[in-house]
Amino acid sequence: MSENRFKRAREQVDFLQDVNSDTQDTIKAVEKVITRNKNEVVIEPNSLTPKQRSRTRHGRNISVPLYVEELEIIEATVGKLSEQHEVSISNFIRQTLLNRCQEILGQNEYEKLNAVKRNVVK
Amino acid sequence: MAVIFTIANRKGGVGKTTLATNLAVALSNKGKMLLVDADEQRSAHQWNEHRQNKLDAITIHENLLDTLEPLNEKYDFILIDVAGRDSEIFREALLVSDKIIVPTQASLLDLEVIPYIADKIKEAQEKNPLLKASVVINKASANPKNNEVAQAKEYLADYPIFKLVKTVIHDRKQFRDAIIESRSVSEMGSSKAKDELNEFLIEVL
Repeated sequence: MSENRFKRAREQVDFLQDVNSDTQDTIKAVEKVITRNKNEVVIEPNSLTPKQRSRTRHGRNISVPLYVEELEIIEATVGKLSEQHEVSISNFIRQTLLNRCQEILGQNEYEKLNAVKRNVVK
Repeated sequence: MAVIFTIANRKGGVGKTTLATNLAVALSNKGKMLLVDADEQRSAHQWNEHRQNKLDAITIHENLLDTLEPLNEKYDFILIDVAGRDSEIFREALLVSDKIIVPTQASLLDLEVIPYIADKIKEAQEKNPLLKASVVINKASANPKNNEVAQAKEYLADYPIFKLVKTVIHDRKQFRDAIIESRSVSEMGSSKAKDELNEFLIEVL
């Protein structure tokens, strides 16, 4: 058992040599992004504390056209959920979408993207 | 076969060696313990050199696996204190440890390395299924008005790969005195630091 532990470790050559593998991914300078509405937003690396950082002030929005009945379905769902615990439509939509993204991307890729924190400069 | 503990963080100055030396004394009271100083600063080694009751200790700066393998059967516990950076020794330690304890301060600058460490621990667990990870908030402000700890706990809750140690270890003079005197706070008089260390040990051992 003990020999296996060390033998197994020695066999993981890629893992042992892959030190500081995030350096290229996480260091991103200020960047200009053109939105779907053709507006320009400036994005910079996050330097705020979790308390200072706000989706409203430092994040981006997504607008999705819905039929009236589709929005009513979402509102009814959130209304039902809010009987059990506090939930807003924004929170519900965001978390449902992100959960689905995590399923599709896989946890590794999801966490890799989520680890790079950046803010919109307003 | 030894139970192997690693104290590591990619960030320096988070109190790794203070935690390691205090944990080393606790483990040496439970069984035969080897302290492995894998940090080039050799602070744990120097701390041990000045002790009256020296612990079994070695320093390693490369080839952790080759050095530890023959020692694995001779000790009940091996405790590795790794330098504050990602390195081959850090990776080797992840692959052979039973427990990794990541001390972190509560500030954002310290917490921002957590996603990377979590990612590496996850990769390591695929290769070393024995590995269990804990994170402990260390050197926290003793000022009750400081809310960084609450924010840090909220942040860390997003990383379920870590067991978040409930005990928060505060920045107390007793810990600094213990290092200077080459002792553990458990070998000194009663103090809040000693109480915190005991609570921490109950959770991680």
